[in-house]
Amino acid sequence: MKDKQKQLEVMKQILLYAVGGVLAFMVSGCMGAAAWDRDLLAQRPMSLNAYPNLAAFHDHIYFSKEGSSGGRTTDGGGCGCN
Amino acid sequence: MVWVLGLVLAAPATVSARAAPLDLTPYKGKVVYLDFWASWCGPCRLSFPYIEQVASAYSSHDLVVLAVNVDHSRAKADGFLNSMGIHPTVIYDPSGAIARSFHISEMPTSILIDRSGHTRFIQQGFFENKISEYQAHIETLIHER
Amino acid sequence: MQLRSRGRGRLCRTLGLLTANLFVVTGVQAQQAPSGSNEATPSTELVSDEAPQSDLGMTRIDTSVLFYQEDGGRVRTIEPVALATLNADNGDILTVKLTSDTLTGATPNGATPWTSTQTFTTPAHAPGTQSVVTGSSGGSKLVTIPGVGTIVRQYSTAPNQLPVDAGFRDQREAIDLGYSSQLNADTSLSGGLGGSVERDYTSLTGSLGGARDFNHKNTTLSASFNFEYDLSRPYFGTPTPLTVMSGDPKGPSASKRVYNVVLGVTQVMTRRWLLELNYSYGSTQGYQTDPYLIISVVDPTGAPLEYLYESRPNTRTRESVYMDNRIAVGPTFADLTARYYWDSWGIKSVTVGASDRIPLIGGLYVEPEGRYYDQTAASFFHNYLLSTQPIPTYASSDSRLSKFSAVTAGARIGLKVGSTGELYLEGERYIQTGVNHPAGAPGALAMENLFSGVSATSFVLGYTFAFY
Repeated sequence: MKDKQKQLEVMKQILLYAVGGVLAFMVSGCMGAAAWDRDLLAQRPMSLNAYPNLAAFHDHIYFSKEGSSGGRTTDGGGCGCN
Repeated sequence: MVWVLGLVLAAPATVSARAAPLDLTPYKGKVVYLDFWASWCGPCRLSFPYIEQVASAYSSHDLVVLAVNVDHSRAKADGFLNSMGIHPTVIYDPSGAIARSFHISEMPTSILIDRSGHTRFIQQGFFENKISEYQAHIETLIHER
Repeated sequence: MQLRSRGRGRLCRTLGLLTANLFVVTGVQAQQAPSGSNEATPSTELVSDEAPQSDLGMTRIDTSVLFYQEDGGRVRTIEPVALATLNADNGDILTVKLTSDTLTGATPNGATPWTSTQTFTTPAHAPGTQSVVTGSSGGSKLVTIPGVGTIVRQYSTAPNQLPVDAGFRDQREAIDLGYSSQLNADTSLSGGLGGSVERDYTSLTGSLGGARDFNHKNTTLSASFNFEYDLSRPYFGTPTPLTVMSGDPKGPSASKRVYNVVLGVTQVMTRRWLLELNYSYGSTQGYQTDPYLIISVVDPTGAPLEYLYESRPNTRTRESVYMDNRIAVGPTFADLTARYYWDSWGIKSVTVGASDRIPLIGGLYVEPEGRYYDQTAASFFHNYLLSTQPIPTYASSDSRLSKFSAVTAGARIGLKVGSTGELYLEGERYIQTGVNHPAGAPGALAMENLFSGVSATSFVLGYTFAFY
């Protein structure tokens, strides 16, 4: 029980550091891609909502089986979900 | 995996500053229409038929249309041209050196250069409801002596 | 000048490596680093064969169907979805989505297992009607209470089995409409409306959002607001929380309102890396109790004395931070997500997900995917209530509010069809692990498995294509 709690804390910490790293990277001015360098970003797998139906299925399953929800978009679940 | 990601992240550092800007001296005295495009760019697909129209409509007016392709892979650029069935004069710029020298910030971008070699108009993006405006730019430069 | 840019390159590389390391460590913690990426050739010049496809000016149709089955004959869902996305030449987007959802199977009713047969009694009628609830099939029977003459529905659970209500069946139909308008080259506004209807539940949603590009389209800031109104109409009416389960008629329908705000930053980090960071805040007011769930009140030997309808607070605020990384690694596309969530009910959770899309020959790709989820329990979660102690104001034995972790492992295979189409099949296995034998369970209850979470297998078959 204590181990679980500790693991959750450790993961939270790592995530925080990762977010911090990302922010540091952003403010360092290294980020970005030039207009002519968007070939990969233009591809479907790089778009944040390339498979909306799959994302909705996943959200639906997890929403109906877990205590947390949301974060990805504002889209409401809209189901009683027994 | 770590260092693969590292390379991903370090990508901007590999873009060197060596510039091989476009040599426009052969076109001195002519109006140059530089169209920056890529196979992966959605509006470019819409703008290409227009570019072809411009090239044929003004071919007798000292207007040179150069389509600058910024794809990293030439095969993809050629695949796009074949799928569109349109074959303008293409300059390949896989490193983006020409695009950088013209400070391109959006795809597509068309740059109109007057007879004396000065950049006069920059058209960012391609919007069908702006075609008359694009046309007016060309007309202005064509009729300058 | 050159020196300066060199120094900056090194700084960028270092920062990048550090950040990447952290992602990987998080992945290892979750024991699910994408298996495919280990083999990826570490060359920055490798580019995927994926043909780029912009949908500008095109209409895209995405039809798919979800098959979902829980172990032990529990819930089964078949959910077909049809989505049409109309992309105008000027960047405006109209979406229309139709969802149909059929649920059948058994769901835990919230009571603890026990060493002898347990019988549960619920109303057989909707309030004010004489027609028998059609959902009352699946192993239950209608019984007339002697003397009173009331008809009730009863079902039994065998010794040492998890009590479930097998008479569960529902059908949901939903429609969602969305419109996004490109105001100018950098700004878009969007709005949406949605509605879904089940036999015992109606939900209406409306949303508004805006997004603006900065920094040569390398940064996008977005904000969106969502409102939801839900009406719960249980088959037999709404029971009063913490009253004893019975066949007596229950109260009227109950509703709740949900407000949700999401603030997001999407950042192009490099040519190969796109990052999205979201913060979301949500507030729910109104009826959030599950009308079908009960909780056992047990004596010091663990034997159930009675069953009470569960009770949850009427307010709940939720917050989360969410991160999505899309990274082109060699010829593959990786997706790394993480979320930290906390709410006013005392639930905290961490979610990490990873997938890597690996191109194979002939327009085929395979995408192994994994997810790890871990949550703490809600402050009012109890497996059971003790008859020797006072009944709390809020109590629920819903496994969704308990402390557990879950792992999803699966893969998707996709086949490119024509220049815009794709056929895809995804298979996933979802396994929850909870506290089966919580400390302090009285008497013979210590021997029973008190975790009622699930494991499930799901498949999605989908086809998408676009046309002018």
